[in-house]
Amino acid sequence: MGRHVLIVDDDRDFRRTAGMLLAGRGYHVVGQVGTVAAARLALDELRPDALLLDVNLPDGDGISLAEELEGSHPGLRVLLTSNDATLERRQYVAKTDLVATDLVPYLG
Amino acid sequence: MELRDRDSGGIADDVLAAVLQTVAQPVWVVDSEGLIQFANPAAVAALAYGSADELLGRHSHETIHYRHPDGTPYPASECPMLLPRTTGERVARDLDWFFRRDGSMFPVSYVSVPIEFPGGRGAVVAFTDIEQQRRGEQALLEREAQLAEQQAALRRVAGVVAQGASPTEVFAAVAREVAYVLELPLVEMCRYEPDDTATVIAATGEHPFQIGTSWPLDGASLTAQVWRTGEPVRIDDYAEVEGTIGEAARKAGVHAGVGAPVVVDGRLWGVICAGGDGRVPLPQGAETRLAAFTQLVATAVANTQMQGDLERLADEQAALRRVATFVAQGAEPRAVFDAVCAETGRLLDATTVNLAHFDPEGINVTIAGWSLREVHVPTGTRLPLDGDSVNVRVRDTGAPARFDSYETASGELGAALRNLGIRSEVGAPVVVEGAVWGALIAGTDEAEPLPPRTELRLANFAELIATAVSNAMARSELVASRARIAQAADEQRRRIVRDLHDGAQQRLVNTVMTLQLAQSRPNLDPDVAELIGESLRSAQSGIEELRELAHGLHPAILTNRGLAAAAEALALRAAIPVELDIPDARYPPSVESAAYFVVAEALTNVAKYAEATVVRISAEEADGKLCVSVQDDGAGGASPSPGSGLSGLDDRVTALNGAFSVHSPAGGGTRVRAEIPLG
Repeated sequence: MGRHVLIVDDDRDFRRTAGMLLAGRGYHVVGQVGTVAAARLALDELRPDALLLDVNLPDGDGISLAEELEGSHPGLRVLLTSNDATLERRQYVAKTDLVATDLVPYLG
Repeated sequence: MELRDRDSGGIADDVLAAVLQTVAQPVWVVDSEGLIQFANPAAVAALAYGSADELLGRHSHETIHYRHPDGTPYPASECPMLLPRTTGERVARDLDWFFRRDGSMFPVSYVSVPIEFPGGRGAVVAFTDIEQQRRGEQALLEREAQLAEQQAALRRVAGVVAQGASPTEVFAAVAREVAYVLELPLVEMCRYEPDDTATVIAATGEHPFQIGTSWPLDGASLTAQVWRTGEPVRIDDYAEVEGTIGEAARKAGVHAGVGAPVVVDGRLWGVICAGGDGRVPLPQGAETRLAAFTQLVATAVANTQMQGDLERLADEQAALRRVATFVAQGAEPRAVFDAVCAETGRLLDATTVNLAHFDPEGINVTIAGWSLREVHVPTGTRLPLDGDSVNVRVRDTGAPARFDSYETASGELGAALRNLGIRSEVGAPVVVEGAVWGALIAGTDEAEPLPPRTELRLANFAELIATAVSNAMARSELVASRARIAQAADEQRRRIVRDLHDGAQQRLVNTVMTLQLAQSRPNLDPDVAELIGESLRSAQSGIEELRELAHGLHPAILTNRGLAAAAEALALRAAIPVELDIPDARYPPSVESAAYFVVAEALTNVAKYAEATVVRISAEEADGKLCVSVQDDGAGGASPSPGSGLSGLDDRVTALNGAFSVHSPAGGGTRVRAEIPLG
């Protein structure tokens, strides 16, 4: 009985790969969305425990959304991802490093 | 009948005697002894005797012909008049001298012809008193001499004129010669002024009318009369002459004088007056003789005016050339405008010169100005183009115009000028691309309006302004289009980067992840595992190469988080310590982009060449510009050679209408500085 994770990324291929990765690690992917707006809706509908959140989204940026959710959804785990290997943030892992990373510290 | 020898005649003699009695021609008859036998009444009268009786029987030569005009004795033996008696030949003399009864002499011409008398050959003498005739001849001679003298005087003045003497010298020469020729010691020459006064411009002799003095034209003085009539004038007695000049002349002991007008180009220009103290009467016809000189003065004036015109033309050409050079050098429009206003003002002797732009809303905007005495509409003043003013006229007609008095001009503009003391103006249109863009306007605070045709001279300068304006328009158009191109290029780069990021890079990232997942499967065939590993490495280096490429085009961090964050990222990667002072603000994308590349290129140069220990990067917003500076403490001596990174920055910054500079003294560090307009 793993954690419920919502994948927020505008790239369909990534969502599928990440879904396989998370499922393989025992997480339950409750949904996949491609925009900030869809993420807000899905958060209320699906009530995930954690987000795998892309930094660059068509209608906004993941970093701002993450900061916002810290206030509005205390306890919600967020792992930021992007193609960029250089972003220095506490809850961030570059997409290329995701497979090799232990996700538990981030997603619980 | 007074013939003594009545026997010698007959009827013919009687008739002859009767005729001789009545003719006006003086005639007498001498006998062979030279004694007067007959004298007709005309002869008696010419010789001033009471009657013929006083002459009859006297020796003609001893009575009327005894001395030469110089007083020396005239022997009868030498008398040509008596010669016909001995020679039988006729004798004629054009000039000889006879004595009257009172001993006075008078000039005569005579014929003496032989006449046969029973007692021997005598002579008939017919003479004419030629005193009157000679007096006339003398007068003619004198007149001739006078004319010759006058000609000589005129020639002397003409010589002075021809030598290109100054007007003052010419006028002085004329005054001197007039005094000499007319034998009148007091001479003055005046120019009539527009304010109904006369200014003395040349003078000789002791009198109050000295050079530079100004006289009102009241009363009936020579100067005033010539001014009124335009004709030569003569005053024989100043005792009754009224008016300022008459009074002053009287006080100065002038009693009589003549005056003649000086007419230049068909216009009464001035007057020459010559006067005396009255002890010697004025020469006859002095005013007419004076008039001969006025023609010469007029020529001199016309010459000097022409010379003045030529000099003015030369000055104008020089001024136009200076401004044209300025325009050609691509000087700032404002500097050109100021230069034109100043050059024009000085050249036209104006009090003030303004450049006005007529904006599409019917407002007159003062763009530039120059003034002699700090009286002009301040630059930037906006006034409606209503009422009447030279500006309105130029705008409405598109042609040069003048406005001779603002005393009653309507409209705000007219009122503003009136308040400044500007009394009249001339203006010429500045036509840019077929439309009246504005006007160049010269004004004066003098009572006298600027001379005729000034507006046409102004037009030459207005054309230069038009050129400068269209140049400036073309240039700002060019700058704007360069900025548009630069912005479009920036936009293009950002889009490519975004596409790379969302497309190829995304695909590769996904490939890497998929391969990693595949690689993590348990019990993998070692050959397959090796193949996957190779694909993974290839995909990862693909990502790296793409990232480098994208970063060089336009770093994502700049797009996402701005200049401060992007510069910080650069600083983290730099090999030497970097001090940053950049506000955490967002600017237009093209400005951020240019600023970022200035910082990035400068840092690259520092790392490569400068041998510096610290770099300081700062940015600040001032006067609508973002000023970025990168200063190191290294070796200096850097220069933006063409094709180098620094010169590429220069192009990039200049394209945004910014300024780029490199200050890099050898041994003094290098400072790269860019000012980029934010608008």
